[in-house]
Amino acid sequence: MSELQSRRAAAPQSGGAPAEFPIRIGPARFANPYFAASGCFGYGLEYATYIAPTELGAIVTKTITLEPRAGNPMPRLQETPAGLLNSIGLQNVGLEVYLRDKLPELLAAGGVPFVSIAAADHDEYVHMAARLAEHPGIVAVEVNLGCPNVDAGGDRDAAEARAVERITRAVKDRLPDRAVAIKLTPNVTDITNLARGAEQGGADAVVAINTVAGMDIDLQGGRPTFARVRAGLSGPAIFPIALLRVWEIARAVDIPVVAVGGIAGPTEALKFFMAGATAVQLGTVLYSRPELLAEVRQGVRDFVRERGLSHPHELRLGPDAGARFDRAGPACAPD
Amino acid sequence: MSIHDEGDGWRSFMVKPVGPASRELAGLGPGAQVDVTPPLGNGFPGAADLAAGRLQPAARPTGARAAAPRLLLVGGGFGVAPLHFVARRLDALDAGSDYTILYGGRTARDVELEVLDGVRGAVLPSTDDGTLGFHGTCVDLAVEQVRRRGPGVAARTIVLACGSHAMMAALHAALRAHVAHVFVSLEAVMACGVGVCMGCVTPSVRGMVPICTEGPVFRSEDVFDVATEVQHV
Repeated sequence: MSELQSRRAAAPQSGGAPAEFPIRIGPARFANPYFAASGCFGYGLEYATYIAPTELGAIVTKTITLEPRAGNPMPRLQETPAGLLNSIGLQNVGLEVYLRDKLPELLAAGGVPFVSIAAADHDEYVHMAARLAEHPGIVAVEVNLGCPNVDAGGDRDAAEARAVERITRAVKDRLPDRAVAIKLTPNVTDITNLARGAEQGGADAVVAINTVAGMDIDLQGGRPTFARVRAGLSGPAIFPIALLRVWEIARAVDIPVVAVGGIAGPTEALKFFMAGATAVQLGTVLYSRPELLAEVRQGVRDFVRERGLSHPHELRLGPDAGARFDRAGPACAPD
Repeated sequence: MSIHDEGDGWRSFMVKPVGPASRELAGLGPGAQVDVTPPLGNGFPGAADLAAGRLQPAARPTGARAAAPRLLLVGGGFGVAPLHFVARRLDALDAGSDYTILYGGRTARDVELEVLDGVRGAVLPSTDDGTLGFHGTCVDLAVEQVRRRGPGVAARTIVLACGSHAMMAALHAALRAHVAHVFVSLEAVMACGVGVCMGCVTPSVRGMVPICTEGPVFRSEDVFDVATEVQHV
């Protein structure tokens, strides 16, 4: 029986996986450090045939906006040699339908929702956070500050550390007893500024990175492939970029860093842990290989045990790792 | 890529090599093992239902027998591949279904009639430049075919179409009002295949819906009579 077949056979019955390498982010505890990335796992149950929601430490939902969004015109996807360009445009059912229909379903299945939200302005963030606070089943919220595929907010917002701090404060003030994580865009000059802004605003964690801005041109049609021209790149190509940002942020703030971007197997997850990540998210890879989650869990487990360690956090490289380059600052290239 | 034919213990697929994945698939040899996750979404209405004219919503007075439908299978280019599968299933019913396959291409070289080897129904090719068969598009030919048999037959004609988006839109515009049903098979680049990523959507009467789960086959009026909406924050 192929790996995929055995995974599929096991998935529906394998709910309630035992806690393995549990972690803490702010006031929230998670059974393991493996999350599903936002936009890659729907609202949590769509992949149930392949991955029981309880196998993941948390499922970051598709980003919810106050009102339902239809999203961008087609085409929305373009494959690249080592990744995927997307311009979905935050198509989602909207806050009220999410709370009424989607959230209870995932909770009933024993899944842990990490609710991703995006708003147009400060007041809308306040309103959404207050609504989420009314639901005790929501233990964690991810603020999507850096989506390149929408008009308002997006990179302009996130590029301002002050704005990050203000929005973080607005959300955290209304969710003091839940984990509030700020997801950052890599499409800025210095992501550590934004991370410090999030920390100063009271964030319990920083999530890095969102997709990397890119585009494609339709050769035959003689026009940009995507209606908005700009799209987001994910997948293996962006792993080295994500790894650097996680490394930098982990050395700039004291709060946990959740790493995401280009995980293709246990190797990338382990490197993220070595760079200082507290948890990792799997995204694009699940589209083609949902069995990857089990492989990552097994690979990390083996690597940790082989070294006589008891948790992947112990893999984190010490303060002097990379010190030769750190002293020169992030703007300088290593010799 | 399309299901093409089936037999006792086997299924065949037609693959058009257009990129890395399809080229790899097309290059596989006997004995190669492939993980398949079928089926995604829906298909054309089943052969038995088609042959009996039995399609939802079926608003028929009690006791009335449905008149046997006329089936028009319209394929543009590679779109003819799944229609071959439909035709073989109709043939297997041995119900003597009244079906015609319209197969269109730009020029004679693009109309590979051997794709339709083995079907019992009539095959009418068309080419934009007239180098083979009907001179015009398969949509023009479909309109001519419907017109030729008169409104009585048109009212019990079911059209199954597969081809470019523009071709199916044109077919809908030209024929929907005159025939019983038009079913179209849409396609899009897909990532997840399970209705999660929203990368393969089509505008529809139910909003932007994934083609991988809600399709690929739709009633043409569900996807071509809607305005595309783009929401800006």
